[in-house]
Amino acid sequence: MIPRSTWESLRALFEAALERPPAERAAFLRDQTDDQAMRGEVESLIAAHEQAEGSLTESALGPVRADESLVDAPRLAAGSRLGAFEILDRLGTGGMGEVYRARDTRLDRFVAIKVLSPAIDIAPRGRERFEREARAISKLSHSHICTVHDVGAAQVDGQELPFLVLELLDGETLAARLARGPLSVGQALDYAIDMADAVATAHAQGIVHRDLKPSNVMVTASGVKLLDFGLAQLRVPEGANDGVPAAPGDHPLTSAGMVVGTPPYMSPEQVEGRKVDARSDIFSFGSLLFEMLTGQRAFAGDSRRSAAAQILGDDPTPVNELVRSVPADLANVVSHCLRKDPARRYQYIADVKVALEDVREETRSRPQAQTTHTGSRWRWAWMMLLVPAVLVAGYFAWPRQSPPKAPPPRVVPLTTLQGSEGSPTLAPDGEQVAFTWSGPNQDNEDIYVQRIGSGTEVRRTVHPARDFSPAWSPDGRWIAFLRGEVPGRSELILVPPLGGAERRVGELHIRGSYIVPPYLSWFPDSRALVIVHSPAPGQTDGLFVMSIETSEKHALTTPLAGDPDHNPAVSPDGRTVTFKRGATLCVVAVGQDFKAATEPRALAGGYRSFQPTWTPDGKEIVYSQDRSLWRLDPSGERPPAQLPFGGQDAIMPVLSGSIPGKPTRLVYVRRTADNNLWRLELPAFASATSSAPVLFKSSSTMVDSSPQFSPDGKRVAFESNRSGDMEVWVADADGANAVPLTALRGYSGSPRWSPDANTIAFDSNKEGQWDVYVVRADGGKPRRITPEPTSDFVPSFSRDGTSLYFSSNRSGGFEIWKVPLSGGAAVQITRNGGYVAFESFDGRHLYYTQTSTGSSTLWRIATAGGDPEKVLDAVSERAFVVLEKGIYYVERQGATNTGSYVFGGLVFSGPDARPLLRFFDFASAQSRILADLGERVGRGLGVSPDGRTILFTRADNPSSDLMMVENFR
Amino acid sequence: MGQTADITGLLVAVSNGEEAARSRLIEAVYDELRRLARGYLRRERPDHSLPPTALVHDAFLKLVDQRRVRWHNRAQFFAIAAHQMRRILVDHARAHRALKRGAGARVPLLDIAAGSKAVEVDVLALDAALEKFSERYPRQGQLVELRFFGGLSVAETAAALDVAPITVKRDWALARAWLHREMRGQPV
Repeated sequence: MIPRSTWESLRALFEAALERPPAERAAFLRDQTDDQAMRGEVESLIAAHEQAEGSLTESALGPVRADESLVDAPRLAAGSRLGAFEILDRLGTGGMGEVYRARDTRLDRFVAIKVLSPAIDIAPRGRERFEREARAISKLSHSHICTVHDVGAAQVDGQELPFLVLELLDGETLAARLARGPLSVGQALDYAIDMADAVATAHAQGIVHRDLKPSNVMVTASGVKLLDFGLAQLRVPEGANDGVPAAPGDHPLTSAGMVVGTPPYMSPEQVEGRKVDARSDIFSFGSLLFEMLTGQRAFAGDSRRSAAAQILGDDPTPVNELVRSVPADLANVVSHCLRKDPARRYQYIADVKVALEDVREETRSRPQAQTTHTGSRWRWAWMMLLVPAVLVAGYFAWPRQSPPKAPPPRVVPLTTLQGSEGSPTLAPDGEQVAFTWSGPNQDNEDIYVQRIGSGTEVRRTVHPARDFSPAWSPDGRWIAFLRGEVPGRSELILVPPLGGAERRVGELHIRGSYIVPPYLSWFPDSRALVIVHSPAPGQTDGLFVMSIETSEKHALTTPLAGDPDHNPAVSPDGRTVTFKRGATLCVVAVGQDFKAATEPRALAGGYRSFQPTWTPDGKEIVYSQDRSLWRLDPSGERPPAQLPFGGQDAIMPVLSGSIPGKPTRLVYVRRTADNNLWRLELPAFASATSSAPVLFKSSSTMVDSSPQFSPDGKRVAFESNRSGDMEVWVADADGANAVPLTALRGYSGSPRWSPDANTIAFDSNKEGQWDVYVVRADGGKPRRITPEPTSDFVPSFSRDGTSLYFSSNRSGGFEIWKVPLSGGAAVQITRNGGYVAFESFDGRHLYYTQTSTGSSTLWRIATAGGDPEKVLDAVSERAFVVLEKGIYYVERQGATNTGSYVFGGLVFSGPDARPLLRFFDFASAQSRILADLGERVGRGLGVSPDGRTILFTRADNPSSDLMMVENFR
Repeated sequence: MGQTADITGLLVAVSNGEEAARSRLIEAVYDELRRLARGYLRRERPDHSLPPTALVHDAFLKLVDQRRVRWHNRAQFFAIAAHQMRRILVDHARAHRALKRGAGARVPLLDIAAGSKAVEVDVLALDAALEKFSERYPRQGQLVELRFFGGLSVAETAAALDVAPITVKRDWALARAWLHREMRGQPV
């Protein structure tokens, strides 16, 4: 075939040469063409091809990062080889070179490879010295020293690169940990004693570290590990200044052949370039200890010189003056380490260790006062055993039961890190919790582990990809988690909780877009997991069982088309799996062969519920529904009951296992968002605008939502929980003079004005069930309209003011009913599901949605009777207002009835779902866009009668924390 | 829906030879994509991120009335959309690079859940490399744009460019090597 273009010739040569073994390629190319430029081109392209294996991944907008790696692109590409080591990914860079994670192909284990920067001047003699040091260090065997496995050199880019093979550590540097604040005294002592022990071991073998600093200490789940012993033998290049900015014209403080440490942590003798011995380490150790206790550097210059000047001339403030909880004895130890004259410091690090151990003894026998946190945002006292109706035919709401006598379980925060923590999983002994967090910079989701009560967390995974959905194995040996993306492909990986290499089990795909974690659950034998998986594109996600030994998987459930099965939880005896299918929770019995023994059965009470988990006795399931925590009995003997804590913000509950004599712990995620009312002005009735919304004057730092203008446009009613409970409030149209209208101390809301503006209808669960009430708009005692023991809510007035519409499940499913205010029987109006209603201006039609959350079709039905007609495809979150000329509403573009849901109080939308304010014009039967409302728009919509002022809800500052309840019963 | 009709109509007009419609089409596509991409160009909450799948693909499904366009309209849409997507990402990367230099603010990462490999791609470097590549090999440059910025699969790219899928695969392998070489050699 004669190639017709340059590209095609190039490509032909490239492919042909690639087929040849590398050694033969040059000769082959010489045979094929005389064009030397062409040969050179092909050769360089082949070289690039081999390195490009892992890059420019083919999915759309793959791992694209704007500009991160401009300055320090990794020298070694993922997939490349360094002798017997396969490079995986870069873990970090430092003054001396880069650290990569790699796989030792001979021993089939993971290691860290430290590649020394070529800028480091290693003269031939220095190279020998380096190897000698490395060999000496590799003989140091200590549980708090990072093990050096090997030292080697490889050709990279035509240069010879020395490298070290180190133990792969999972955790974070002490520097990263200290960036978040100081350690507690106890924690600092524990770490310091271990470090002192490690340094003592090294000193005993004649090895001085010379560069002790927080970035050379790793904090792992099994404690601290010291890195880079003795490597400061090498001359550090100018510019590698460890984050301390160099002043212009500065020179590194070295003299030929002498070592350089890191300025802020150097000893005075190092600064002066004099002889350095083991006591220099003691000074640096003191600096470290200072910083661990205070969170600040002992000598924090803003240029190399001034830090050095401080080291030479200034004494840092005693630690116990900066941090009051530090005992004076400890402050003395620190000062003793930091004496300028080496002869006046501790002479042996072993003595420092003994001194610290004494301090630790002292502090243990005199424990400091504990501060406890108790949640105050919920009133547990009366919110016992609330039971809204469930969507199963024949079930009605159960009457209120009397509150239990036992004291309320204590709720304490486990984590209050900035950003969002989630997906908790408890160790079998209930003493540790693993969870996901996006890190202090919120840039990479990883798994963290906390020993409950310690207040500090250890980072367990460092991979740049998303690590999520952790699950602790029942035998305590592993934390299983997924790495990848949802929807998309992920890998199931196991990692030992206390440190050690990851183990990849296999790959799975989750294709549904709106599936929240968890996606994994262990069987009690800890040898298999239930996972969520879709075996082929187009197949709905179902539950599979995957063996961690063979990596094989087989199907457990056959999902309904389009409705993924997810959130699996295996019962403690391994015989039942509960999971979410569609809108309900289900259970399925599992046989000895790990296959389903029956068809899945829907659970009563599981409607719109998520994330079920089992109680340790296997008799009940705890789950999250509408942001509250509930428990239900799968046998159906008892009705579901709401838990008396967690309030309206709780999701992802997990329970610790059954241990005799130990109370059960419950950990959940508290999602908070500051829901505020925002106001948007339109230039004229139903005209588009691009002006920005402003905060409604009345917005508080608690939840405000569901705004409604009075018919004369002068006032606004809304729900707010700024008093502690959700109540109905009224304010002037500009937001001033907000006053509470109700004080029922339950959850009251969904206010609607009567046409004459004298009365407000609302719903409340004060009586233990949802009911509709009316109250005079200027205040008074509310009157209950729906005494029946069913769930009745979301009221709205008829145009003539004589009747109330509301949604009720008294017929089995939620439908719109109408009742005369003067008394009389309620009449069912809708038959295809109805939640939020608005009667038309002329009183002839009723407009309604079918769901109260997420996106719903808007229907209308003639009040005189007849069949319903579809009006609009997607109205979101109860956000529509029917006026005379048309309907204002919020549409989540692209969302469908099942596509959007409320999760933790925030509406979750798919990729295209931008909330748009639209107006449906009755005259033209056309809908047009008025404005883009921005992100995280929540429930409700208020429109002034002149159509020019819009009020809507937006969730600002969402975050989540882990909360724990002790003594769950 | 007003927006959708416009783009379909413009597409049809352009393929009928109405070149005047082309710039309006490009602008319309750019606006839509930018709006769609905005959600991804911010950092979303991590506990339930909704990683984007093919933005361009979704835009196509949403904006173009399938019944009214033929295959070569689709090809044109994707070509335009992929190029606009590239514009959007490059603008975003530039804006944030300026921010980083100025205020030392951390560069927000495109919140796209990372794929299986950990190697990062520098959008600006890729853009510059692709610019050079396209000058010499314009058709292959378009292929890269469709695949990488448009997120089209091999089969879709083949259809859009009217070549065999195997050709797409072969071209992609060489193009990737070329771009990688170019990007690694770029000055910092």
